[in-house]
Amino acid sequence: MHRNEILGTIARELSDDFTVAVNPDLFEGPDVLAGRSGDLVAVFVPKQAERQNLKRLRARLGLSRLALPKHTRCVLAYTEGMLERAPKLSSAHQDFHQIVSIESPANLRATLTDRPENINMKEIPAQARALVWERADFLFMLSCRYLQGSAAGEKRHIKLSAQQVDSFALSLKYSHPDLWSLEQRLPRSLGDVELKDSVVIIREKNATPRPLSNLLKPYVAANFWLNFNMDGGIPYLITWSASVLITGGTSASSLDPLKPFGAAALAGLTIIPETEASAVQSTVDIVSSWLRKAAGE
Amino acid sequence: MSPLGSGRPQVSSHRKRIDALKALIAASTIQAADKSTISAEFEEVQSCARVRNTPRRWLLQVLHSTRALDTALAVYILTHGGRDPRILGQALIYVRDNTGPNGNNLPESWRSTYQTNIVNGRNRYMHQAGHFPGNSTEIATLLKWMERCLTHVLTRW
Repeated sequence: MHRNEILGTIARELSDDFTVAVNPDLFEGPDVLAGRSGDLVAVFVPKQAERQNLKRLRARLGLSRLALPKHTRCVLAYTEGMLERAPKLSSAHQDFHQIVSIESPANLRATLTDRPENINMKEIPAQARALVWERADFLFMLSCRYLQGSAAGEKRHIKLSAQQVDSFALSLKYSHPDLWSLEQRLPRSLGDVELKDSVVIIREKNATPRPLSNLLKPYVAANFWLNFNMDGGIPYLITWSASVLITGGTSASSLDPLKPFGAAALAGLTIIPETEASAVQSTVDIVSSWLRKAAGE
Repeated sequence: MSPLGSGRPQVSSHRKRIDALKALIAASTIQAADKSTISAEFEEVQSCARVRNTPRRWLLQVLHSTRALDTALAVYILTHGGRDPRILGQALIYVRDNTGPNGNNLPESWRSTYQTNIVNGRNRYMHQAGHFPGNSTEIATLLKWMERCLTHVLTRW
């Protein structure tokens, strides 16, 4: 079954009751987004790279849960063929609200159109969500400034509330102790990586020009796992750090240059074009200073 | 090497973005009658793609998309106990100054970003004779800021 056929089948099952968007314009978002009163369904169909590496799928789910409204119901839809070639997919049931086979029409319809009140919808704690968004806002604005050709320093000084700091401590409780060392978890396979003052500096490995959105996907997933641990589908923040990705040959879509920056920022990543060492240092200083101020140091 | 932000201009029907916005509106707490009105207004942005005179098409797309955003924010604020803001700028100030159903306020940095990228841009085309959007990228960028603003309020405010 082709991917487009799968998405078409899902859209048809939903179309009687929902307003449906197939391939909604969200970077690393769900494959189908459908809404009806009080119910938003995000359907994920694992892509080939995600079937080979389940962490990519779980990162997409985590980022979508952070970006979409809190009442979003996340459903994993698969074919038996996918399951045969990637048996670990079945373990994903612990992260998704619901999981269903495309090849079982009655079951597919019943699952997709189920009422949210019938499902145990564990929500991301509000304070944890607010904490992630504070950092994402800052990193997104920083990426935008570079995109617009202005490297002016970030003037917005914020401080996390006591509740947010408590929430971060709660996040740490859910993480495994050996995940705590940022140094040990740096995604070195993605390029030249170093750590300075809680800021991870990544120099892009491949300088061949390619679309920014394609280039960013592995970096976004790697940074998600650098920053979060997933427990029952809830992304828990496990480090108070941020990453700066220095890109070489990239071309952002002129139609929507902002699109990948939002997801990257949620994953803890800001993007700047290749530049002089002093400008990179200046960016690292801005990010490091913001992280310290935000944490009230 | 191309700097970030450069690239070949593309033509888009904005279909996917509009569908995603409609799905978000459909799942929101806005009343059913208002949802239909807002969705129909967003749908007009897509229908405008058939207008042959391109400056006029872009101007109509700005008109319909901002009317949809104006109404969506106004009714969402009303649904959650606020007063009907007459203009978009007032709606942004309201969500900055008042806590929404998710327990948050819109930070001032975002309010001013939306004011600059949506309200000021829109006002130039709506109120000044002879002003038209320069290209489809400008429309796509404006739509993207609107989507970000609407998603921000529905998801986080």
